[in-house]
Amino acid sequence: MVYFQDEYNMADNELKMNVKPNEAMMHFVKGLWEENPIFRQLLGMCPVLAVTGQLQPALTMGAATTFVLVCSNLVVSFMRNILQPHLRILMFTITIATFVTIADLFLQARLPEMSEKLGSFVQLIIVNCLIIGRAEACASRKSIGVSLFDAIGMGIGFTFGLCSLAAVRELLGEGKLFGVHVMPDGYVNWSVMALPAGAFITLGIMLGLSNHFFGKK
Amino acid sequence: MASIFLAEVKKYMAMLIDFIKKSWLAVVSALVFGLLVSGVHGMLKEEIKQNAIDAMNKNRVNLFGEGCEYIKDGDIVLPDDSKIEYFKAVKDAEHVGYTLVYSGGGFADKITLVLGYDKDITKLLGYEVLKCLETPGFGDKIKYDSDGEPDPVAFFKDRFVARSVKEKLAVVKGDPIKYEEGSSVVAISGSTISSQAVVSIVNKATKYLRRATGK
Repeated sequence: MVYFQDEYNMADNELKMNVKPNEAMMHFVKGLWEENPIFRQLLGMCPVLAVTGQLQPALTMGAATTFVLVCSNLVVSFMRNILQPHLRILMFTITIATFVTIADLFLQARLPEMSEKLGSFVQLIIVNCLIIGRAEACASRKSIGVSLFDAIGMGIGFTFGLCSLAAVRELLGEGKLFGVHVMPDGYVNWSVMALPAGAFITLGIMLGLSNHFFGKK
Repeated sequence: MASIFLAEVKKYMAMLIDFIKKSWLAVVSALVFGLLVSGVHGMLKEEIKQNAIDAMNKNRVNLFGEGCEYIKDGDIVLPDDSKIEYFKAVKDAEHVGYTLVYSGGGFADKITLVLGYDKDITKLLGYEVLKCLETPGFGDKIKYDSDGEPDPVAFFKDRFVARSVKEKLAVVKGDPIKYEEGSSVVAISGSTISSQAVVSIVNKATKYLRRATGK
């Protein structure tokens, strides 16, 4: 709630000021690290914990989320001037659900193995607060160009977060990267990393490291 | 009288206009998005259907070998009144067995298996996994067979190949070499629930198939 309020204030201030020419680029860069959805905002924790056992599903989930984020930001930004306050959340939800359904159908048709591995977590993108958060904080207030770059930046940041966790877990849990054995013979798989406990441990350590080295003092 | 009626009509018209003003965006968007989703579904549904058919054919070939035809033999009616189709496997005009798809609860989600039996339903030829979201590295071992490895008994799926199903199978824990006999199936270490789920699916499918075919 505090986060959304801050975003509102920030967006209001930006509206009052003259819009900076490099605003789109600024939004894009912010999503990569400064406001990274996973390591900075702790958004979308459900897929972070659930689908980061291996790199391939994590990458697929990241790509699907980026697609939904880009499409929903574009549509919400396009309709922002006719969006009435009482319809806001309803419209966001309809928009996000539409593109999640399209992403799900696409995965079922073209990447059936990934679709099976991700299971219901693809449909659960609908309730990923990263997407509705960006629709509320950015797309419903900014131009289409800015919203597009914001979505791409946040999407890449989210995918990077998922993949970094998945790389650690797959490497330690199965001795593999993208399904290819990379650990030396004799390496004993650290099986807990493949389990939900491994997701919590890895996330905790990575958050601790990112806060220690890059956190705001 | 007429003026009261007109005033009422005006009031309701104003309400209607207000309603349309407030909700037109949601109605139009729902229509547009609905068309978009149905269009994409229309474009991709054949591929999705084909993927399911390919997966099923691949699994059936693994169980019965190449060159089999699968002819629907009937429906199994389950206790909850739902129906499951079962098929006769026919090779060179000879009835070689039965196959069906059966699901049951696993550790993470439902496990769906394709099962193959001989024609007398006394022997399970094996199973193939159609859907399984069990834990990687643990429960998902139900998906793998030896595939040429030197120690086939170490692979859970191999324990069901050419397995007698005259008696109900039961899960036991321990060394597969020592305990794999009779109706005992040794569980995967650390994945007892997934192992039990597979055995339970096999037992139920066998029972219902026997009942349906009268064998």
